[in-house]
Amino acid sequence: MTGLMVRTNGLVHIYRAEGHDVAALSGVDLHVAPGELMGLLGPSGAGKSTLMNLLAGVFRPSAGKIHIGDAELSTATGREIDRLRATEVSLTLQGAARNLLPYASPAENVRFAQRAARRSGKDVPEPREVLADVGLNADADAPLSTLTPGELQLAALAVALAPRPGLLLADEPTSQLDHEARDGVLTRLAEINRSQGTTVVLVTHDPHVAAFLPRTVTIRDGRVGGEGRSGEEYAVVTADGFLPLPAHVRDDLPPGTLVRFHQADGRYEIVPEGTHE
Amino acid sequence: MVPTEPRLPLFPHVPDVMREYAAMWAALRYRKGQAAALAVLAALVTACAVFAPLYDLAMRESLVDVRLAQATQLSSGLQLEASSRIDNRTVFQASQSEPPPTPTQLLAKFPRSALASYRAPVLGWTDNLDVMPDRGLTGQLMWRTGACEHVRVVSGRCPEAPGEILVSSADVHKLGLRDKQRLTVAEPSVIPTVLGPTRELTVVGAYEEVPGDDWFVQPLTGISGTFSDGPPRQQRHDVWLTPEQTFTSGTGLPQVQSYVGLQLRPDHVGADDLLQLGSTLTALRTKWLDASTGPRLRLTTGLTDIADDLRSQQKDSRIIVPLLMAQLALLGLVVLWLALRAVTDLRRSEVAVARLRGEGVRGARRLLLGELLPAVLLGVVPGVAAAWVGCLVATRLLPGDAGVEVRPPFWIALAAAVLVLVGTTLLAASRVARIPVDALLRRSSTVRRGWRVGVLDAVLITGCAVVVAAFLSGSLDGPAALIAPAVVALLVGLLLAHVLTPLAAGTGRALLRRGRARLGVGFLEAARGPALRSTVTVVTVAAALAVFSIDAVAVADRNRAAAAAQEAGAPYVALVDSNDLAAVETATGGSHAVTPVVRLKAPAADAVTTLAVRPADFRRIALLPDEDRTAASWTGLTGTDTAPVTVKGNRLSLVATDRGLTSTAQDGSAVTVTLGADLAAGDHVFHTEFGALPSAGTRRLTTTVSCVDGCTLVSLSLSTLVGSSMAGTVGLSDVTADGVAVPLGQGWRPFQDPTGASLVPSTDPGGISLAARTDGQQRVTVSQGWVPLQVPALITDATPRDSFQLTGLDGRTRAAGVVGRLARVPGAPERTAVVDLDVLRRAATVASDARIELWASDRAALDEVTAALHEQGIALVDTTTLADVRRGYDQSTAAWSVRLGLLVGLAGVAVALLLLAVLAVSSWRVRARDLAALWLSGVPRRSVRSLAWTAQLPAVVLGAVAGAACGLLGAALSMPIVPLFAEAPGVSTLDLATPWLPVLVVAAAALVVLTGWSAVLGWTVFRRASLDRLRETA
Repeated sequence: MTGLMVRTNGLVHIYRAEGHDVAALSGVDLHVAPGELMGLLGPSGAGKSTLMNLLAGVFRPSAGKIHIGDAELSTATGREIDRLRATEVSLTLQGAARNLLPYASPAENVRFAQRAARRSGKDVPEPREVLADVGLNADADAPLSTLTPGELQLAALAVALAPRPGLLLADEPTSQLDHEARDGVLTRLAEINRSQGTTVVLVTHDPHVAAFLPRTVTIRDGRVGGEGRSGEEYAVVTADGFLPLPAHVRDDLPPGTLVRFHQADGRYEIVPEGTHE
Repeated sequence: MVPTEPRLPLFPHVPDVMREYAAMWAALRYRKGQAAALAVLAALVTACAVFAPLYDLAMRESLVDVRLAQATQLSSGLQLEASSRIDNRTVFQASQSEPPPTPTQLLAKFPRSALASYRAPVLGWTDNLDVMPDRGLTGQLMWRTGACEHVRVVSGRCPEAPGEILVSSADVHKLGLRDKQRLTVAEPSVIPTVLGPTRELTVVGAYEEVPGDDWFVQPLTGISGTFSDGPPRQQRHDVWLTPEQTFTSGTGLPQVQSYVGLQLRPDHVGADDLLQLGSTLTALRTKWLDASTGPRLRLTTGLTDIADDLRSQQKDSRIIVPLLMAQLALLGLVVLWLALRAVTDLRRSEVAVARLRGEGVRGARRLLLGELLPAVLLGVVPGVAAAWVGCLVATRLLPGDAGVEVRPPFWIALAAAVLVLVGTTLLAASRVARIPVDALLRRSSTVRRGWRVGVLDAVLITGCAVVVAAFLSGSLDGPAALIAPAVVALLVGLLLAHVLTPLAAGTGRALLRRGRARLGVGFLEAARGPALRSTVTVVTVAAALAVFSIDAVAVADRNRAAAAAQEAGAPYVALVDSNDLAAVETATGGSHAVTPVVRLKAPAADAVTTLAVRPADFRRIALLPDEDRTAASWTGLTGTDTAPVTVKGNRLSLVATDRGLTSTAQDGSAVTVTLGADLAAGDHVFHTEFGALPSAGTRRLTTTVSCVDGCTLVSLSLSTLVGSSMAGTVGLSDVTADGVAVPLGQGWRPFQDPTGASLVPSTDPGGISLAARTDGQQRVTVSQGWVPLQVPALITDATPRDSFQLTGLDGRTRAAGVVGRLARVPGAPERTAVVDLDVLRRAATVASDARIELWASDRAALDEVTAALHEQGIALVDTTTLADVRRGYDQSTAAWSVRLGLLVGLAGVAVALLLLAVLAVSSWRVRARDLAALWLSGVPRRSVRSLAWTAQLPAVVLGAVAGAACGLLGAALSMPIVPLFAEAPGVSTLDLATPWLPVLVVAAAALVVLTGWSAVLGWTVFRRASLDRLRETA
């Protein structure tokens, strides 16, 4: 299995609430390499979940393009998106129970999640194999009500991985979990990413989770606000040349502030008007 | 070695199918309550659908049983008769006309397929014969197979040889027939001068009929010694029984009739058989009647009438029952739809899971159907069982031996029910499966603002409005009217529901703004989601059905009771087999519970029927409407208060004084004038003549009368020769009876006719004088005032008032004076007059066609009178009881169908209760969490509890009240066109007024039950509203 590449260009999503148009995303340019493990960070309402839903084909973008592997989601038909979700793109919703059939065991849930993939002709592993990947083999036939929250989350993860997708989108997969369970889930995710090459994009608020990830992208005000690689924070220049300021600089440079760019010694400096060098 | 291809499994998908089943059962087990609720609703819809054909069939079979049980052998059985065709052409060669077919040949003309419904045929010959030489005795000679086994041979033996006969014991006693007596007989002659062939008969024994055995269909005895009406007037003998050979041994009797008697086997004849048989017999009878050549064939049976009655009644029942059940099925279907909508909404997250895993709309629908369809289809079996048991119970309650039978309509109804159930489930599943994934992932619903109606509701509202408009404009009638209550209620319920949602939301917000948190939250909670709309709609329809049902049942029951009372007249009515009114009056004596009623009917079809009654007793005993019973006009029936002139003795004598009375013939000669009188002794009126009046001076005139027990002088008359004239006055005085003075008194009425003839009485001291003036009249009469000139009468509203006349006891027309009106007279036709029997019988003899009846309010009293009449040799025939008449009305498909309304009403309320339970089961988690949240946010526990159990109350109360009003409106629209009777009664007693007591009781009961159940469900949800609920995420 090879992970899928993800690329968005100028992604805009507008929804209507209380009679007003609200821009959840205002031009997101993002690239995720195949087999990458990446986290989306950002405050509540920044647009992280919207971005995840757009990548999963749940929402249609108002503008811009979404490439998942060779597919372009913004122009794909409903049937094509269904097929993509059946075989290549899996979304795990926040709250483990929302991803599971409550009356079915973990094995039955996995089998159910493989149904569409099997119909599409995709070769899928046995449910117990999938559950073994997430370390839940022992509880394969247990009723969901007997599982711990961590086990439930692993079951939800197994369901998402059931068709061996190329892209796994996980919305807050560690929320409501204790540290031990959280670390267990993250470890399994990393193992799957490594062993199966699955591209993993997850949304999180948790700085511990962010620290665990090799790459994070911060979404702010509907745009890519920054990126962190191996603990280092970066601002990202957008496709149309804009550069969002990091949050901690914003207080010093309120909107309307005039700045100049100075280049010296291969470095760029941002100098507000009236500041003497 | 030839390589072999890998062997494919026979059933490659079996493991998958097994896993699908396992998942289905797991899903069913997970939400047992919801599955059970769906199954119950499906069972209800199925039961309603399949109960209709089962019950309809049971009713038809019961009706057949009832009608056949009530029918005599003559009605239910069949008689085939054949005789030679003797008409104008053949009358002179009667002996050469084509002989009738033998009984066996006659039987062969009857359709073989119809024979299965009858017992072994009784074959026979019959002939009417006169005993020679003087033809003074006449009667019937008969052979029937096995006749001797059905009579009691009291002397001699059963005839075996040709010419031997068995006569009745009455013939032996009354006609002097004896054993071994030889009789020469001949057929009645067609031409008086022609004597047909004769036959020798020998008496070999005597028989008596077996009481109660109607094997012979016709009575064999009872006319011995009586005389025929003639001419010629002949004495009659009872039926003589003889062996077959008497008819087949070359007698040459041309007028002989062959006979086949068939007794029906009621246990082998069902409704369908009866209808088929009726058509066959009608066709055969018509064919035989239309035949103009060959022997004359005749078919006699009452079965065709019974079949027609059945056909007529089943026409109504086949519409009423399905329509009643359709309302319930419709309600059940609506509730099933609402329940399915609720439970499919609860599965939105599961549908979202399926969609996220790549299942399309079809896959998501399959997921839902995999769980819901088995639950719904599981309900079909108990539904069929419930209908079966219900019908079984109904057959026990219905008269007759009808059982539960399965016929094609049952299978059609079952298939339709399954189709509708599957279709409804499919629709509900598709509705959620089609929801876009992003909408499925949304967690909470919002409170709806403003007026918004969905497509389905809009279609329903429009459809109902059109139907209601059609009802109101009178475009819809017939049994279709039964759906009026459901349609009206559905319309009102839907409108209320859609008005209430924004109203509740607005009120909730307003209350919150004013700081009324508890009430405000309650209203907002109610406005949220479809529960409010569903509750209001279904409760409205259920309450409407309950109220309409009790209204229909009570109105129908009251009308059947009124119709029965009208038809019967009194609790017991017996016909007296005599015209002896005096004897009847003696027998009734001073009984307060039995009264004589004389029914008088003029020959004309539309003539007014007269009931001569004793007003006080009649008012007490007859089943009069209350307003007629208490009418003041009854006192006017007694009429004049002139005292009668009573004569007691054998010699009636008076002194006549000439005061210039002369009579002149046409030739001018003087003619004698005679004095006559009419006297009434009881019911008998007779005339007596005093003789010629004196032409001058005075003369005592005497006549003999039979008035030892007392007579009443009712008129005096002067007679002369026909064509003569009279003029002048005569005085009559000193009237005595056996020497005792008889005061002529007052109140003599003058006579005056249009030609000018007159006889004017005036009072004299000690008598009266009569002034006569005639020109050609033979007799002129003055009547005494005690005999009314006009009989005071109470007439029904349908009787024309102008020139009103009625029939007197003597059959003659009498002038009548209307003293009041009655709405109707029980036991009498629409056009009826009620008169005082004592007034009507003055100077009138009871005619032979007057029917004397005894009306009684008490069986024991009637039995006493019956015994008293028997002592006088008078029998009662044909006693009718109110209970029997009522049973006749009750035992009809119209009555049984309307009674089904009770079941519909009860089931309607049960469905509403079930819906409330389903809504609670499907939403308790969310509601419990909301209540817990309120508690957590500081709302007192007590307030939260109050909010929980009162949450649905306003909707339920509003729905129940609106439903009751709709039920009443529906009843007003539909009851006038619902058939309450199998056949409309002769006199309409229709009363469609609302029976308020039962209606109010049922409406209150429905309100209490529904609100109580709603409160219990709310309380149950409150008990689960713990703070732990807030931790639940799904």
